[in-house]
Amino acid sequence: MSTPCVPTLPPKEALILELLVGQPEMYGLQLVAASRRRLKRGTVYVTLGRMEDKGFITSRLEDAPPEAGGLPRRVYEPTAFGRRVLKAYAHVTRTLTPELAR
Amino acid sequence: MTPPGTRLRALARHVFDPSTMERLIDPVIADLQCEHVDAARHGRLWRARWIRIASVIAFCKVAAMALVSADRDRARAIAVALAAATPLTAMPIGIVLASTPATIHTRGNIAWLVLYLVPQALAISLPVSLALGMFVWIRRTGADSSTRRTVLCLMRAGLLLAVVNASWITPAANTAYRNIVTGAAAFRGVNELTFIELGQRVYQGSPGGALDGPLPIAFWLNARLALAVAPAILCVLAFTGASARGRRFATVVVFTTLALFASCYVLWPDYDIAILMRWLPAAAIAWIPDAVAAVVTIGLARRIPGD
Repeated sequence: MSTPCVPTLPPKEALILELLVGQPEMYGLQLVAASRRRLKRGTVYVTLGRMEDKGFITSRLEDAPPEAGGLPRRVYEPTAFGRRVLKAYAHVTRTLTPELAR
Repeated sequence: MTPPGTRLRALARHVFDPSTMERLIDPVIADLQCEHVDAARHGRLWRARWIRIASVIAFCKVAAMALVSADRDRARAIAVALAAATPLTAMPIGIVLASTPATIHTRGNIAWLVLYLVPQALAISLPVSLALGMFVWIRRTGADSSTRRTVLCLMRAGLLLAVVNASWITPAANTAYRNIVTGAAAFRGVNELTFIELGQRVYQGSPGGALDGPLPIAFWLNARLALAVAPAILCVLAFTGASARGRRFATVVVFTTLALFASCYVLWPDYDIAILMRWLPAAAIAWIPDAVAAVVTIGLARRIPGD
């Protein structure tokens, strides 16, 4: 019998999902700023890339302001699957926390 | 004017595939450009400079993580090479520093002394750690045509670096080291002479000075030459060992040979080498570590399947 693949949600990914659920869309640097130093600018995109692979979030390119003249920035938002995983994670955490604290 | 990060991005495009560029590298560069323009527009010069530095650090972190996740075997090989290079560089530096007399000139200059000893230590640690990393990498990935090209490329780069280091960088660093220890422009011994200067002294028949120890200049010239070509010899050893039959046997042989090679330069005292001169010419003694590696390579080559 094959075991269904249960998605894992490490603390950093949970934090990103929590931040994204509260906002319509965010840049990587906005996530770093909103996380109060829990996310770093050097690692946030690696985590975001992994979350995209898992299907927790989706991204699109947003044109840079004309005066900036640089590369388009990437904005991220949670998918319906990501929201459900976060909800399940929050539920499990709430349910098990009293037992784990014992 | 090109936006900041353009060169970094161009460099990364040579290394990473389009998907990695799009998802990992480009967002970092885009952040840099947006933040930098914003800071510059508000006249915050120091903030703009800080953003550049922070973004370059972020770029390096992302690039390193992307490299590791893209090719775990290569990452493992780099880790092994670095793990070997660190003690191999630190050990000769420690030995020389421990034998350096503490004077009023050396006090407060320890950081400079360590820095000036790094090129000399690298002459030994670079070929050994390069070969070790290469061996671990080829052992896991196999010696296909792409691996062969990379090995050749690394071998050339290591050889070039070793020749430049042995010819010019190490003599200059040793001169600076000796000047700090004595507190003045000191007499230049064999370790402070370039290849050409050593060659000229050998040609003139100079026996060497009192500061040069018991070994003749011909030994030092040949020892320097042997170290300069060591990356090529040890890389061939690593490649042959990784391709040979008998995984455990080849691993033991390659590791032992590399350890012997390093200890010849780090632990073999000059006076013991001088004793060998009763039986062998000084120039030949200098080539013993390379010759041992070459003989072992020939032995391992016989164990390559199909050869």
